[in-house]
Amino acid sequence: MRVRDAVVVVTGASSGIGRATALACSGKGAAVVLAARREEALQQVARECEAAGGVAVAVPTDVTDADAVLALAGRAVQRFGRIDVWVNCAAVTAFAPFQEIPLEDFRRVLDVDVMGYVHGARAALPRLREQGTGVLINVSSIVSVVPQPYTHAYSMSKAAVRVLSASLRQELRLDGAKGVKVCTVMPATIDTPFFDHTANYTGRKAKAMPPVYSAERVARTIVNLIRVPRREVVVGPMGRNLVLQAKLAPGFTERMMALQVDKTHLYRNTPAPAGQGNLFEPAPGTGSVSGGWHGKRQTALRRGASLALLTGSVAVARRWAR
Amino acid sequence: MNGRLRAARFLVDFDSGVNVARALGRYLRGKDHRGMGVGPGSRTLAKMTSSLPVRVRRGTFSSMGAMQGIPLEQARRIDADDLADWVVGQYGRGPFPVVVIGSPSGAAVHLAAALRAPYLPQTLLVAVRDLGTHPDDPQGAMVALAPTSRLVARNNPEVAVYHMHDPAQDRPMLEAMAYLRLKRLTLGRTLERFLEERLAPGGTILLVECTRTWRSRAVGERAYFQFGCLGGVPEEEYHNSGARIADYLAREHSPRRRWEPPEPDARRPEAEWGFDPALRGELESLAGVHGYRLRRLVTEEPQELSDFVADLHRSWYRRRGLSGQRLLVQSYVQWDPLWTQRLGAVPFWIRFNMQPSFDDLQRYLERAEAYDDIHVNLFSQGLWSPGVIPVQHWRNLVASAASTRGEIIGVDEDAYPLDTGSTLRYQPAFAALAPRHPLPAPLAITEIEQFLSTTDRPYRLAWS
Amino acid sequence: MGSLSGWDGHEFTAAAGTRVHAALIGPADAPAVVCVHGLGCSHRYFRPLAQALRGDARVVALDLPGFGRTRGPADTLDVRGLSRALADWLRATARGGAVLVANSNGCQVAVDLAVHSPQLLGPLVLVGPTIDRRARSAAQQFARLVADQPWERPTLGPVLARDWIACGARRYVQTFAYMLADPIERKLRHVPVPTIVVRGRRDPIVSRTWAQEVALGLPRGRLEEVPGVGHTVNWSAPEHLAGIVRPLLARGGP
Repeated sequence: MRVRDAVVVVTGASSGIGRATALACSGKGAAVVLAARREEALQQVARECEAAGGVAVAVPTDVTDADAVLALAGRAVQRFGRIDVWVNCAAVTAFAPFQEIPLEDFRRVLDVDVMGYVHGARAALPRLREQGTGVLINVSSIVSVVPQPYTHAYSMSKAAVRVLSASLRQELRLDGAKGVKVCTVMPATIDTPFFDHTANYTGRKAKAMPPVYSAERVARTIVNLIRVPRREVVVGPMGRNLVLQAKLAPGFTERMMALQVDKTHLYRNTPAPAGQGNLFEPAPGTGSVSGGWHGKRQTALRRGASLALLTGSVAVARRWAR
Repeated sequence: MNGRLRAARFLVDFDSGVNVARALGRYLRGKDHRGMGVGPGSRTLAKMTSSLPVRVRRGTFSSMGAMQGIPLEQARRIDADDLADWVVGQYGRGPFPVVVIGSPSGAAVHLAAALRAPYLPQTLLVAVRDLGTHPDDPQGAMVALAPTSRLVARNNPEVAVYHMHDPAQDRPMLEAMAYLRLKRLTLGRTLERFLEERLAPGGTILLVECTRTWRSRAVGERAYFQFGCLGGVPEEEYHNSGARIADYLAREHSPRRRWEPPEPDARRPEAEWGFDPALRGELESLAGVHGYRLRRLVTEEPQELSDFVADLHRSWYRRRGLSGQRLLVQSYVQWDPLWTQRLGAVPFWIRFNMQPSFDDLQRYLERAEAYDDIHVNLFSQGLWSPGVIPVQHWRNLVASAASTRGEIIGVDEDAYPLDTGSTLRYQPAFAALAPRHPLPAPLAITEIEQFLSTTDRPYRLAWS
Repeated sequence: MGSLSGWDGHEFTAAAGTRVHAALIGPADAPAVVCVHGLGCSHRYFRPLAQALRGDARVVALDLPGFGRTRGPADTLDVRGLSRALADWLRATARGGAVLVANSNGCQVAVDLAVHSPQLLGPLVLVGPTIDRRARSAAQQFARLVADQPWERPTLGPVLARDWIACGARRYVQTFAYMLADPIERKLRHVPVPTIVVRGRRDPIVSRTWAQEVALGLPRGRLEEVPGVGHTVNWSAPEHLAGIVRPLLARGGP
């Protein structure tokens, strides 16, 4: 589907991947409907979208409220006449040893990350089916394939989302709704403020586990999915390697990921107070795409290093050949 | 990693409890306590390190702190049993006639050495890396470390965890780490076994109890936060910081000019020096069951034992034909009972290098019979905390009190109190003094009782 | 964006169950002229006409659902579907009663509008009204289309090609089938407004006989022929067509 003039609804549009996606679609001339909890942040994003060349409307929404999500879809139709793409991106996470997380926090993560997506799909699909064309994009994560310790509810949710997409695809196929596509995006670690706002009961500050990729990269993938929908896409070469590795050596990968999370996903030298983060109240401020984890710079460095390695080995190989 | 090795890594080398065990352990094996038991005693190395520029030295204190702190993910592996293993590992098989248990005190270290007794400290310090909190933000530090404190307390039901935060004395360390003091509430199997196996039948358990309390706040079960600690700043000033603290913070280029600590909810044993009486009950019943004798040495402040121990040593030396006219003032953990005894010097322990310690020494010198030689060694904590007494004042004090010679030893006076070479230098300084005497036969408990009953000095302690 | 594409602006309206695009030229306060395109076309080929009228009118060329930049439903709209969409859009944009210029199959849509919403019609210009009663077969229409090519300006080709791609083969073919079956001659009597039937003299798709028949079938219709051009008068003789439209502006209004 052409992105230009498409009507794209994005939940979680106030920061990170959602925000980057909204901006990317706007840059291609789409009309975007921005949903998140923070009105102030959404207004800011709307302004940026319009500056990027799109048209935007902000609809503050808590995705755990089914009626609110229906109202969001209604608002999109009222403003733009149709819905072409629905991107489920609003998500929260919590870091905690399993016994330490309050149950209400655990439930909240499942509520936002799973039911939020369900509400979105239920609001969007009738419209998309009626129109005969449309794309539902569910942003999952590679943790759906390679889970992580301390983020049980989040890992469970992302796996659930992946399955939700598959089930929906099957049902749509049986119903003959060929023009309606459901896609799953599985990003690796992305440079967003996601980690700053999480609920955290580990006593250690959370950070983006390297390698970190930019949110814009995921946004580009989503834009490409709108154009050419695919079932599942992993974003980030490390993610793809990890998925492959998980297929070949699942037990080893599971153990390796446990260690990696312990060493690099939580700070070893920066404690953090216990808190609910943004689970029940959105973080203050107007949000941003990047979380300051230098996704772009890291990518550039990685590429530079690979290039150096490549040219170095080529040089060595040449010497040998003589 | 084996438990004891891990414990050795987790424990902080400059902790009083750790140095109690190290010093006594080494003493009982005939070794001195140079370099706090972990480093060399070398004047040359000391000179090299203390001649570095101030900024570098200050940074060294901080990085020492950073290195001592364990990464946060290791906090779950802090095991009180491993720590107890480490403590008993400092000592040989025995059997020992006396075992000292309780709050740390430098004076009690010398007393234990005289008794040839192992010393099992109730409190040990573990530090975790912490680059996220600010020394002058106690509220932030408390909440940031609370999950970790609770975790350690949960994993170790035998101890109470005190997260101690003191931006006055411990500032350089606090920049890179957080202090978690683990205070034993029950003996635990390892220490019980130690007593069963290595305390001689009918032996004595000497309980050193310091009743010093401090305002603290519970952050969880058996997990507490204490702002400030014993030192140059009184407890009240920590909780209501005034002009002196404002100046100090300005000097230290802090963004704040006062401290706003979290509201305390109770007085509890002081984190480092205070005794938690929970242990006493168990020891009393243990003594009853096994026929040990339990003796209690109770003071309000840790250094209140110092004049008693000094006078005790003096009388003990004189009974053995030594003059007892040489006074060796040792501060914080830079104690060395082996050298003290070799030199036939009377030990006087000062808790730190600040006003209260200065006053203690002054009071003692006024009251005691004059000494011929007085040597003072001062610990360097890495900054001019409020209340640190300059070297000159110490020198004046002892020079005027000593009949023959009063001097400062083992201190780089230009560098002090940022003397990074201090720990390397104190023992060589002791060793440089003359003369040498053979090590004495152990002191007996009865001799202590006799001393206390015959003395006319009003020592601020209770013996029972 | 406006100056690059030749239009002053682009308008999007939530109407007709979709997001309807329209391109605009001319002063906002000038009387409106609504342009309705033919099969597989879009707003684009009305640009020359719009430029010609820019001084006098606010020219609004919309894209019917499924064409140009307006997305359409999965099920291709038939003539009634397209005229209902046009009606909905006219109501949503408050342009009922504006002068309406339609080309080719767009004329079928405009005439069908009269059947259900005659009150929305303003003065009507039917440029090359299809489909000639005497040639209602795909083969004939195709042949006529080919025959028309030499009489159009060559620049029309690329513009229409782009529009055909946007609309897609399936929609094109299905819409064409609906257009073929549409009996426009039976609806002409419903058109209440003054109507000018415009025919390019060289237009093979719309024969003169047919054009006359249409003009006579309208209650208030008349025929005007434009020399030297084929079917797409709005592209190939915009000035002339503008001259025909302009007098309607004075008379026009809700």
